[in-house]
Amino acid sequence: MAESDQFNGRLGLIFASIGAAIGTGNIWRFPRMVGANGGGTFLIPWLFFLFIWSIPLVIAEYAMGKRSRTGTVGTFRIFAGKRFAWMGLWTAWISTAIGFYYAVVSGWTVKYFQLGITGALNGEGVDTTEVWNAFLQNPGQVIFFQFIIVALTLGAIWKGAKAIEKVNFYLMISLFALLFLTLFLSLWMDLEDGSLDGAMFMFTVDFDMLSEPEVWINGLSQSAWSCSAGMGMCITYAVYMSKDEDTVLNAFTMGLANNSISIIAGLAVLSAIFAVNPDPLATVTGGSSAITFLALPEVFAKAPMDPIGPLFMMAGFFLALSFAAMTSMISTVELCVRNFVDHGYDREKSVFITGVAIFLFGLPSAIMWIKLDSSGVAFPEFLEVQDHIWGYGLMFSGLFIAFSIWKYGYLKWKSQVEEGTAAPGFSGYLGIGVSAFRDDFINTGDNDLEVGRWWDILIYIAFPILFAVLMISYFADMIANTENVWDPSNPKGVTIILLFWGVVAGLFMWFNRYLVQRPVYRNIPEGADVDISMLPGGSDELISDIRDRVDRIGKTIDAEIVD
Amino acid sequence: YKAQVSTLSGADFYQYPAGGEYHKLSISYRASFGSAFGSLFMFVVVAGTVWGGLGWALRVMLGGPEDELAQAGKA
Repeated sequence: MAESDQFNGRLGLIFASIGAAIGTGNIWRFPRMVGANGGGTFLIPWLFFLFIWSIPLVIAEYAMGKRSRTGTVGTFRIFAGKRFAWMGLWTAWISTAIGFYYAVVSGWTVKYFQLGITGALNGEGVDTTEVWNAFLQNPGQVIFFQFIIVALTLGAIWKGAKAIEKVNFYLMISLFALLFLTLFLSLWMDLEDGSLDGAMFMFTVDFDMLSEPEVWINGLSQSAWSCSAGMGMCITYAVYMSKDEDTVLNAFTMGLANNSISIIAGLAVLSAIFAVNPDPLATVTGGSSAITFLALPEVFAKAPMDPIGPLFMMAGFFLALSFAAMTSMISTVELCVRNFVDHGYDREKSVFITGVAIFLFGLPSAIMWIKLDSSGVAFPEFLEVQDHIWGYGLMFSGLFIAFSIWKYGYLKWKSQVEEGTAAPGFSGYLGIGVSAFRDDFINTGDNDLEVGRWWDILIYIAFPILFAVLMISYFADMIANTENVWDPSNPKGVTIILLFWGVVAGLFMWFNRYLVQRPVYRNIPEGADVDISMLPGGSDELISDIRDRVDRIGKTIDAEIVD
Repeated sequence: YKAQVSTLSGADFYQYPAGGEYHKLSISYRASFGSAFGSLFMFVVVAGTVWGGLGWALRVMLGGPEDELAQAGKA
């Protein structure tokens, strides 16, 4: 008989969730965003949206995953109804599609750790652009490191929740230690000229810039991407929660831990750059994401206590970055695997097939369209196009989560009106419908913290407004600043995004009818309260407990014996 | 004599007429990128919110005395 899988304890869930959230976005994108958006000015919207967008969405995800006890496909099938299982498929697809090229990027970080530890970036006259170009234009090397990442990720998730928990625990502890070491060396460097320029810049607010919409939009996007809020990771990890696990406190802990790491990484990177670079802002904000692999090695090579200091700093930083990338890869692959396991497929086979698919589909991002920009720096155009197409698709996952919440509230209010236990009209809806999800799935009595009306206001009012603002600003910026933006053959245009999104969504909507003909097995821990009968998809006869699943082989053998 | 000050951002670059005899003296100077007091205040606010909030959340999560949990109360 199959058994449910769960984390050993609360810290297991926290480390796994923090691992899912902490990635390259915290360590290399965050310092760049701080630099480009007025230093301390950026921290205000970034912190604001942690509490207004990210944490509320993570609370919703934890609540949904904990109740459904299935991955994203099963969760949307249960919470939104059979007709909307495709929303879970979209969520899983976007995450997996990003995983295809994220594995390549993660491979770069491992390569740079290797370069750092061997001193290849520290010597006199090292041209970091040449090193970068030579690596990126060497398909064998890029594929080799991509393969290492995929293999390590598969090894980490092979045996399920307990293995994921252990790996995340060690990787996160190591990452904290490495980042603190890097921070210490950076602050030492910055102090050598008698002032902490980088730290001062990072925490100084330019109030004129605070009134610029772009700063707020960038703060929102950074918070959303960095926390992976509304992207399905937390639904997946909530499947492994123990029966009385808190959702709210865990969500706050995860979000705050994610932001803590960003601050440490931001201080480390900015202090080092401000210490040695005559024009630090141009360094931090200029160029592509390859800045991490061009500017930072040059900066770290000037660390104190030569040669030990530069070696530690280089190797430590890139190892921390590799760990961050790996923990995010783990959650990306697990999100996909969970859906296969829920639908009756063997875990180990699902892990293997997903890993092979991620490797193979990531190969174009690894080796195709490697070009040189106007300043002679290599960049992977195919990878950047993939990011351009799928990056913002993640936001729809959050919209689907909100839709499920709104739908549940509306249906519950409507049924109570028909029973005569709720008032009709808008005031009745405000009284029962708006708080329905929170009352039934969040404030369940398991939490150390109870969630109040503020959460309803954020999900019902703030979320749709912010979603609209993000999408409109993204497309408006693209339309205003991209040549031939409507040309379908333009890989940086709008049409290619809409085409891909449209085809994938259409395909998933069509596939939905076949998807819901398959049984779904819920990963329910012993004694967990998992009544789903009140949900739109809760009375689906094909949804059952994984412990009731009988192996196909076993059933066949039993049937033969009976016959 | 005349003096010229230029900044790295190169907003207004002045050039002296060619053919003259000039002595060039470079003094590297970089203005501070912010205010020490303001940045310290902001650091306390941000770090207090993030690290302080995280510390409090971990403390509640890992179990304190019953009265502390009661005081954590409703969010």
